[in-house]
Amino acid sequence: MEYFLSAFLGGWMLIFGVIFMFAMNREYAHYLDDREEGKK
Amino acid sequence: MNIYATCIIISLILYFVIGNVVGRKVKDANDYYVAGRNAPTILITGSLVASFLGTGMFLGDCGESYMGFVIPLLTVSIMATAGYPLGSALFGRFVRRSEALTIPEYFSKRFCDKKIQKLAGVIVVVICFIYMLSVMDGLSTLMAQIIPFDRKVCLVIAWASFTFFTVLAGSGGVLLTDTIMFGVFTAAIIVCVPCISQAAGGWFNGINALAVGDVGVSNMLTFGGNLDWMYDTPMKNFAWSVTYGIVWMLVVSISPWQSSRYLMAKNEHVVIRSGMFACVGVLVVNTLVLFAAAMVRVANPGVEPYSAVMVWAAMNLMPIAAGILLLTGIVAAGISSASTFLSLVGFSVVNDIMEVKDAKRSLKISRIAMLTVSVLILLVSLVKPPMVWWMTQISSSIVAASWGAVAFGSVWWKRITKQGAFWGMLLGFLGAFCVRTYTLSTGTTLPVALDPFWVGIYLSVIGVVVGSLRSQVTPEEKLQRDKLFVVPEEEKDRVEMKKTRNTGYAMVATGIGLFLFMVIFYAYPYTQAVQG
Repeated sequence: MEYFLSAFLGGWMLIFGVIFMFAMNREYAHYLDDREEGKK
Repeated sequence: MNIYATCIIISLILYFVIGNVVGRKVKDANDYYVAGRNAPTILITGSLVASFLGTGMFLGDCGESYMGFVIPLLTVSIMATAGYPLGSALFGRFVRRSEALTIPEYFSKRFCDKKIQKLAGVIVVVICFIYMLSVMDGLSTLMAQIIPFDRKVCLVIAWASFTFFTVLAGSGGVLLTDTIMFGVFTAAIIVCVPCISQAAGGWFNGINALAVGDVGVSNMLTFGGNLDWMYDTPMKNFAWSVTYGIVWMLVVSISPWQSSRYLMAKNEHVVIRSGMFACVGVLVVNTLVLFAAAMVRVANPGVEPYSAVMVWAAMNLMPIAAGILLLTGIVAAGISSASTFLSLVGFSVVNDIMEVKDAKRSLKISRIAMLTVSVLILLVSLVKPPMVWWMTQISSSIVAASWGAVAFGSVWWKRITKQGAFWGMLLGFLGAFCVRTYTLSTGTTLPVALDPFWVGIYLSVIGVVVGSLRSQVTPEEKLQRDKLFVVPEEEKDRVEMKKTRNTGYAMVATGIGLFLFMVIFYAYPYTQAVQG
C-alpha cells in the first residue's frame, strides 16, 4: 500500500500538471496562431 | 530572557518597522486594498504560502504527525497543493480581470447583485474572525513556552506585532512581510530537517525506528496512520485523507485569503506563475516538516504537550542558531497568516458590508475598522471562551462548501444566475456549519460520506443548480461573464505566454520527483524495515 500511496500522490500532481499544460497550451496556442496568421 | 526569546522579539520589531516604512507609501484605497495591482511573482508567491501555512501547520499538524498521523496528513497536504495551479488558472486570473477590490466585490460585479456581496462579505468576516482566534491562540501558546512571560502578556505582544503594520500599511505591508516571513520559515525547515534526522540516527535509521522500533505508537508510518487516533481502520483514515485533500484543494483554489492575493498581481502571467511556485513551495515545506515532526519521536517519545513538538526539537535537538531560525520561522508563519486574515476582515467590513465608496473616507474607515476588529479579537482571545476550539474546526469545510461551486460556476457555467449563486453560497454555508456544530457539540462521528464538507457541498450544488434553473440569466449577467473571457491586450506577449505555459513542466516534474522521493525515502526503507 505504501508504494500505491507514493504512486497516487505523485500521479495526483502529475495529472494536474498535464491538465494545466493542456489547458494553457490550448488557450495560448489560439492567440499565438492568430498572431502568426496576422503576420502572414 | 533567553536567547530564543530575545531573537523572536527582535524579529517582531523588524516586521513592525518594515510595515511602517511601507505604510508611509500608501496613498489611496487602491494601494491599501490591492497594493496598487503591481505585485511581482515573488511577492504573490510569498504571500500565498505564508498566509496558508500558519501555527495550525507548525503546531497542530506537526503535533498530530508526532502522534502517528503523519501519512494521512501528508496525503491531505499534497492533494491540497494541486489547488494552486487549479485556482490560479481557472479562477484567480478571471477574478483579477474583474478589477474588484475584494473577492465578495467580484461576486457582486459578476452577478450584478449587491445582496451576494454582503452575504460573501459576512462569510469572510465570520471565517477570518474564527481563524484569527485560532492563530492568536497558537501564537500565544507558542510564545508562552519560549518567552518567560504570562500567556496573556504573550497574547498582547503577538497581537501588537501584526496589528499595527497591517492597519497602517494594508496589503502592501502584508505582501512584503509575508514574503520575508516565507523566506524565514522555509530556510528554517531546510535547516531543521537534517538536524532532526541526525538526532534520530540519520534519515533511514529514523524510518526504520518509526516502522519497527519502540516509539510508543503503533502503525506510525502505515498509509492509514495510527488507528487509535481517528478512525479504527486504515481504509477509513485513507478515505478521510482523500476527503480533506479535496476540501483543502478547494480552500487553496478559492478561499478569500488565497484568491485575494491574485487581485494584487501585476498581470495574469504573475497570477499563474505564482500559483505554480506556491504549489511547489507548500509541497516541499509540508512534506519535510511532517516527516521531521514524526522523527522527533525517535529522539523523545514523551514530548508534552504534543503540539509543541517542533518547539521542543528547536530547543533540544538543534544547534542554537538553527533553533532560533526555526522558532522565529514558526512565529513568522503565525503572524503572516494573522496579518492576512486581519486585512481581509477590515476590507470586507468597509468595502462589502458598509459599502463605503468615497476613496479618502474608505482608507480612513478601513483603518479604524481593522483596528476595531483587531481589538475585539484580542479581547475575545484574552477571555478565551471554551467554544473557541470547536469554532476553529468549522472554518475550512465551510469556506470550501459555500464558495467552491459558486466560484468555479461563476466563470465556467454560463447558465448560473445570481439566484443560483446566492442560494448555493447560503445553503453551502448553513449545511457545513450546522452539521459541523452538531458533530462537535455532541461528539458524534459521522461516516466520511456525511462529513460536514460533503453535506455543505451537496446542498451548495443543489442551491446553484435549482436556483439557476428556476431563473433566467439577465443580459447584464451575460455581459459580465463575456467580459471575463476578453484577454487584455497587455497579456498577449508572445515571450511571456511561452514562459507561463512552460511552468506546467514544473508541476509535471514535481509529480515525478515526489513519486521518486516517496519511494526512495519512505516506501522502500519502510517495507524493508517491516519485512525484516
